[in-house]
Amino acid sequence: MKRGILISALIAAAVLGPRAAQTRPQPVRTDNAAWKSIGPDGGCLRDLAVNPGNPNDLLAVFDSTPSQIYRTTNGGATWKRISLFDDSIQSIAFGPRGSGRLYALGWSSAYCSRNGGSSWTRLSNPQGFSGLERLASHPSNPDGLFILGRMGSETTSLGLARTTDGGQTWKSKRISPDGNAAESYCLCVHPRNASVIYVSGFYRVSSTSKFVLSRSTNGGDSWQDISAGVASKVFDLAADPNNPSQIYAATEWGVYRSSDAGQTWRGSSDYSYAYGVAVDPANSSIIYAGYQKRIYKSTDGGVGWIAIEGGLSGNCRRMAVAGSAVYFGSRAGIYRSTDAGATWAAAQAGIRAGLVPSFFVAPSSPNVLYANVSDRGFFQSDRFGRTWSLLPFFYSCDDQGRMAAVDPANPRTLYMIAPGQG
Amino acid sequence: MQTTKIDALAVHARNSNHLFAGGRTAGGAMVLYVTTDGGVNWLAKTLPASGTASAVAVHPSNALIIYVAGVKDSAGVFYRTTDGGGTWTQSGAKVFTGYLTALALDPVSPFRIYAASTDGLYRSEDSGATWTRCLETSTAAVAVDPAAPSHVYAGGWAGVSKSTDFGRSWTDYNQGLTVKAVNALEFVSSTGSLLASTQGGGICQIRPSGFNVLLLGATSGGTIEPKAGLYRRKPGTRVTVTAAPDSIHSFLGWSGDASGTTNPLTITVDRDLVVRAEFLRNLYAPLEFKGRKEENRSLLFVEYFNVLTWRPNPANDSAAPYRLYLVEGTTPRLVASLSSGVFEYRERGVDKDKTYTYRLVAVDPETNQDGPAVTVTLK
Repeated sequence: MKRGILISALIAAAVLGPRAAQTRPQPVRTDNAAWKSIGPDGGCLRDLAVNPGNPNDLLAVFDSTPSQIYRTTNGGATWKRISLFDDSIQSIAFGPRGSGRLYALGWSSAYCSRNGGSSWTRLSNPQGFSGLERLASHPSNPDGLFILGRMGSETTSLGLARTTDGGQTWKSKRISPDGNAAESYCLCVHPRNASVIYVSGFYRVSSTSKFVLSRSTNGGDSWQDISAGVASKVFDLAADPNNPSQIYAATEWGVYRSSDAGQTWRGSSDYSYAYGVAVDPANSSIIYAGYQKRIYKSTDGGVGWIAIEGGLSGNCRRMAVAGSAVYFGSRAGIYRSTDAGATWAAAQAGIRAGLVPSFFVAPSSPNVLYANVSDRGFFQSDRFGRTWSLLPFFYSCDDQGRMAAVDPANPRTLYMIAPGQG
Repeated sequence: MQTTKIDALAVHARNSNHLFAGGRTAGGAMVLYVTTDGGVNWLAKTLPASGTASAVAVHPSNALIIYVAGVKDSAGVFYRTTDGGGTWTQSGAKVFTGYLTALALDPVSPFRIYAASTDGLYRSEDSGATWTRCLETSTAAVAVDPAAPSHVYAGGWAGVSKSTDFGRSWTDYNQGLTVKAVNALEFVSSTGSLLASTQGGGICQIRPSGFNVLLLGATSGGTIEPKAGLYRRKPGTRVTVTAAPDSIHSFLGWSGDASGTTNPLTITVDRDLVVRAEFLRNLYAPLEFKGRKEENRSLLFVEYFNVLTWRPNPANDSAAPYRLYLVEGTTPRLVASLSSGVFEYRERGVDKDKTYTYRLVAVDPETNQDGPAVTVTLK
């Protein structure tokens, strides 16, 4: 039984800063009558990709309709939206180093851009798929692309489609047995050897879910089940680029590691849920795993792990190591560490993809706003959205839209229904 | 406050301590909690229905008139009370087919109520007794322009719609709106900005066209009527502004997009305008400004002083400090800045045979401006 309590949060002046609550803003002199997003920065990340030729160049796509693709070329300091898609983009990828290509995967089609996202060409659809879910580019062939998705209509299985000619022709292969439902989690093409492919997901037979963890060593022609020893969903996979047989799997029981390309797996005694995993290409013994508002770091190739918190928010959706930066992409947005995971800060300036169930205007000050952002909490702006600060308590509420109100006389007092105590 | 779930919160516009929280009791009844002491004590006003209260609106000038939108048997229901929650009247039970998500009152005619619902927007012209569906797309949010109550905005998954005739007809209002799924809409009444929070595009802002902004301001020392602030007016509207200095200031004139000293001033709001009233503190010259030369003779040397004395002008505010200048040629040189309680100054080391002209002013402590001067010449 949940119980609501009402708290009157008198927000300290330290939070507001010295220039709080100006009551005489300058009028907007240009009246262009068009909507413009005023933040807060961030969004619910769906996929993150690093340019294999430039660690400061990243792509990110967020949960929204239409889909918004953002790009940074300065290591996450600032982002710009490069594309809007009516299709729901599930996955994004850079083409191989120097190719200049970008790939995006919609629900039924893949798209290729050769001009940095200004325009996209829809590729022909691979036959037999009812839903495309994960995308990986070929590490050396700019026209090579792999797609993991659901095959079949009446019965469903996981399947892989691949092209070597930019999508003119596709080869498809079923990976899992047929069931009444299936979903892909991860598609991992080995960065040094594209004939080695790992996939994870699940399929369901009547009401029993079966987890899929499979490998191909011949570019997708045939598949082996390598799930023995990993009795869990595998949310993410990371292949060590420096060691062809070393692979890591992020699971409900922490990160599993295999030194023989998935034949045998070993878990860690320091287990915890992990949604994302990444290997530092500069030092293969350093592994990062992402969970909810927290990462785990191993410096011995996945044997021992330490948890690091602070500065992070949301459930992890992607981990990435790019040059000297580590990225944690989550339902709350993109966070970056430049000190090997020790400290974290949001790195999503310019991303206007926030899920905002509700907001509150201070009746006594035209500049003070409060925003209730999903998976992040309450933000406050005293400059009408030009800057935002996260309030030092975590409440956000997706289904209780009108759970707060600003004091009509004092812009610094917010009344709020705090969810669930007792 | 014993309850399972609170879904809606409202504060009375004129009383910060008067809060209203709607929800559902542990027993499953729709309930409104009311506090008049800022949340210390809450009174439960149970509604005669099971279900949950999903939105609360309070009459802007009469806190006994409260509107509650709720969900009952998977459909919307509307209740109103005119006695602060003692008795409730239900309406709309067979009209609303979807969930009610938000309420908005016409700020000028609060008997006109809009109710957003998953099956469209409803309007009542009689304080909620009867309802008409005026928009058929699913609506999560509704806002009424406080400067033009006939202008109504409705937002939902398909974007924002605008009506300029109290909701009778609608047009899409999505220009520049990337992510159209709107969760909430609200006007910032003083600036005329309409805000929409979205599902995947942050908070978006627009300033609906058709209005110019008049920013009225005043320096300290007086007031203006209408009072300082932002006003939205239709182009061509004439606004008369009156400047009223307080007892120790004078009206100096208008600045910004207006000038001169006409008071009251009539402005035609044909574009965005900034108009400011400038007030100047009344300052009067010090009285009985006198000077004399004195000598201080010791065994070894003789030093000459100019001794200057004055009396405060009782017409000045006692806080006014002074500045003393020495006039040499045409430019006065500042000799000393003196606080308001000082009435004598001794300048040391002066020339016995030279002529000195001093100028003394009272200073406005707020603007640091000099007031009228008095002079004295010592030979």
